[in-house]
Amino acid sequence: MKYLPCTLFFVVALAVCPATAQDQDWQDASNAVNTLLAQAIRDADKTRAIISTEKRDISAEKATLQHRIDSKQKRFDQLKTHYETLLEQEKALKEELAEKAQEIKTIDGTIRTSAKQARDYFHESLTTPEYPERSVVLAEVLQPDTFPGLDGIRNLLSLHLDEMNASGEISKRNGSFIGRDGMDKTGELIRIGTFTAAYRLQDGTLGFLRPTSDGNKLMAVQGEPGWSLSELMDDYFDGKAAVFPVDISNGAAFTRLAQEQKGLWEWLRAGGLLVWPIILVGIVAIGIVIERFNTLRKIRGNSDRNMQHILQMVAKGEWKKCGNFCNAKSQFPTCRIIGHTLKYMGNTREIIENAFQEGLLKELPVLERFLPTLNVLAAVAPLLGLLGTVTGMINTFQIITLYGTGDPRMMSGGISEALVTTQLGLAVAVPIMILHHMLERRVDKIIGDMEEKGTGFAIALMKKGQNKKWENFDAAA
Amino acid sequence: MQQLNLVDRMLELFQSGGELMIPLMGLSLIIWTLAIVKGIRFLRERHKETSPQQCMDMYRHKAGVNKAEPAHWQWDILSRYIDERCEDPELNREILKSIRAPHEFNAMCSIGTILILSAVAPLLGLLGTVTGMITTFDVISQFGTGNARALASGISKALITTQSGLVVAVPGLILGGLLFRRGEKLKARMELFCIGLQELTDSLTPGRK
Repeated sequence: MKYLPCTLFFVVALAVCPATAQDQDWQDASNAVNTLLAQAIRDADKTRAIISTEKRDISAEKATLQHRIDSKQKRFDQLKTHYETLLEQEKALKEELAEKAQEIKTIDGTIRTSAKQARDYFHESLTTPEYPERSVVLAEVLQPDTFPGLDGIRNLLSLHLDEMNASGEISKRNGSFIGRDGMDKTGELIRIGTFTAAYRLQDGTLGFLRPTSDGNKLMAVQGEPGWSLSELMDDYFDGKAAVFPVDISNGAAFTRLAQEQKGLWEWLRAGGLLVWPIILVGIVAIGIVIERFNTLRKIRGNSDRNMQHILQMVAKGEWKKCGNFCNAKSQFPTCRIIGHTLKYMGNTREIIENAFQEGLLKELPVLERFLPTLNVLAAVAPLLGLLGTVTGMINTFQIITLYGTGDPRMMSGGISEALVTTQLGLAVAVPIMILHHMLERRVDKIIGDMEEKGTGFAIALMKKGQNKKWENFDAAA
Repeated sequence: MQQLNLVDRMLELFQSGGELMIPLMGLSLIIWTLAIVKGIRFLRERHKETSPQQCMDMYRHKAGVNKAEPAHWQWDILSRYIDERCEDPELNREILKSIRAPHEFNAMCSIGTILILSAVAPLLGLLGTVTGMITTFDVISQFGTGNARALASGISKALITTQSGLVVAVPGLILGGLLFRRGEKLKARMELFCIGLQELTDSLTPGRK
């Protein structure tokens, strides 16, 4: 094709070329041209052939390439679809993952909560000191930012199962604990389920145990178990009895055990101001009682024997000796009265009786001194207690007016004042009453004895006088 | 077994009543012992009592032989009166009065104690009530009113002591009252006996046995 313009140019040049040359020339020229032309045609054919071959080659090549493009496109499409499916798959999986993560978080939270609960519970539990590995396991489970994993969960579960087991058994062992004075002690320990733990020391001291605040050690409860409880516990420790006192209130009873043994001073202070007059009444009463008992003890002598002596002397008419005897025994009121009566000897009966009554009246105040006071004190003490009750109640109601009845703790101050004074008043009054009765009986007995002996003496005296009179009569007759 | 249960229940009651149950129990024991002893003595003396005439006869015929026959006080008054009596009836009355006085005192002996102890018992019960109430309010101040179980122990203490105080006091007062009336009657009989004795012996000459 590319030879065509060249050929044409050549032809035209030949045509244009002036035919100044000869025919020969021309002929030659035309031959030459023809040859050229033929050449050119050959060339053109050759070229055309080449072109067509090339054309064929190119088209073949194109076809191959096209084919390759197509196949590539196909593959691309294929891969694109695949990618999209994968994207979708990823999205779905991501959603699933988020869902699962939520679940895991819930589980984690649950486990942590339950581990915390377990920690709180084990701190309160009596069994913890026997299982020191508990705190390790719990610390592992409670580690922040880490999922405890199946092992952790299993450990936690086994802690609970251990606790369950322990709550059903009675364990007896030797171990250490913190004593009532805060020192470390070692002794026999007994644990009944998760209810109660108790200890016995070498010297026989008994007591109950509570876990300390961090739960790793046992600590003695403040306050002594009572006599009957101690007996039971001792028997159990020795294996003799099958009964053991158990605190089913989970420690509330122990608090009360300690609280019941609070000091006297605290108790008195709860009673308010009116406690002091009541105590004063009690002290005065005790003083009077001691004084009276002392006095009356001195007075009580063997009056029967004295009386026999006196009567014998009277019968024999040994007046002087009798008087001396009475003076010697003047610590006994009976003798004093008789000595007093003796001075009126030989007078009429009225005078002797009057003298005797006078002596008795003189003795009575000494004997009965302070007894009415004691009686009054016994009556005053409960009244003071009642006064305290009323005062305490007034306080309580004032508090109620101020704060309402919402908090019972606020009211308990006034109420305890009311009750403590009543209690103290009664506690003072009851012994005073009994002691007063005893003293009164004793005084009554002494007075009765005095009256009896005095009358006996007066009669003896008068008989003597009568006999004298009769003798006089006889003498007169 | 039943008795054992009863003892157990008693012990339980005793323990839930608190420490004031011990003096109450003691009071009850003292009251009942005194009352029973006194009652038996009264009954025995009443059984043996005879009229002054019979007494005199017994004294005359079997002097010193059968001393257990009349009541102890009758015998004592009779023998001492016959020993000491004289001509003057006024003086005789005085003698009888002086002989009678210790017997009258004996007749009333321990009745006063029974009565005073019976009067003390409710006071002790009241003391227990107050103590129990204090326990209750201590519990309230510690736990509030929510813990009914802890509250109940104080209240039961309060109620059981009150109950026991009354249980001790009521029979004590009744017994004391009964014995008091018996004692008064005995005193009246003693006086009657003395009057009868004096009437009987006034006709006799002194110094004869």
